[in-house]
Amino acid sequence: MKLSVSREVAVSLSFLLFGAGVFYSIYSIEVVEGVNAIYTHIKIVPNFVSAVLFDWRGFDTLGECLILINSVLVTGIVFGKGLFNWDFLKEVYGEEKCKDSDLGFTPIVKVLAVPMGVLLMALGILVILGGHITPGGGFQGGALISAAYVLAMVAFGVRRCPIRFTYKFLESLESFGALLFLILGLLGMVLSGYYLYNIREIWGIPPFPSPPGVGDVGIIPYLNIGVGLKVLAGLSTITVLLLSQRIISKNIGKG
Amino acid sequence: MIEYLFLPFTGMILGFILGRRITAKLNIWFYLLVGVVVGYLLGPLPYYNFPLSYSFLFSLLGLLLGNLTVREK
Repeated sequence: MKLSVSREVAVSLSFLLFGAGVFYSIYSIEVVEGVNAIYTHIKIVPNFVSAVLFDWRGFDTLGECLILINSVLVTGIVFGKGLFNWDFLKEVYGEEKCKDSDLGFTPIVKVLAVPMGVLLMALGILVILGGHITPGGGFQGGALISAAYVLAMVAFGVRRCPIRFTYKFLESLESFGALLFLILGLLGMVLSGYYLYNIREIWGIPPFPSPPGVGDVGIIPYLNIGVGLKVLAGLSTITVLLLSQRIISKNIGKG
Repeated sequence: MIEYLFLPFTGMILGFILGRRITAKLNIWFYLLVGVVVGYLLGPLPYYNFPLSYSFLFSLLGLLLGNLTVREK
């Protein structure tokens, strides 16, 4: 009992300190258009980072996505259905007592996990969508949404997790993200002859309507969304595979 | 007007897709209030002349709408 109280006090104090730090940072943050304002006037892309990431190095970003696909595949092989020898796991997971037990997180963690997860997801979407005019983009936004999922998983466990990203859903998201990137690349090839060409307009209509001053963003926001969905699905799939309880239970005949 | 609201509505669609995966019962008024405060602190995206981050607010709204369709009674 004594230990539990001191633990709660420690968690509360650390939360207070961390929260105060975050609020202080948000209060004193200042973003100026700076470089954006200059590049908008002389380039057809919204800013230099977008130009480097997607206009000039579109293939590089595509390669980075493929690296993530590979890492998910390898994790799947090692920890997922490809787990070749699960005899030793029977001893660990085979006992009747072994259930999805509550590991005793304090109410603070449980109460805060859902609201923080929801806000993190919204922030992740904002970072993905603002990737062409602000620091951020698909990778960062996808990682934020994935972090929300991991937070919920850690706080509530696999079975009672309030964010239910099923394996099938993640698989569809990952495929959709990768296909979106590839198909947009092909669209550039059809319309201009160059793969991943940043199309400024299709029949006079800009692909992503943006306010005046941003410039021609072309297909960059869509590429960001594709990368974001892929990263979100990839990292979440790795989390599911590393938790691996469901697959292991299935393999040893308890699922 | 569409050029200003296209990004927030895209966020709303993405939010709706993700919100359909949240099964917890979310208190809509609480999240809207927190969303307005966080959106105000975040500020709008550059070139979007809004008083607060509508992209964040609409994404959150999409999440809540998605959650409304699936949440446990």
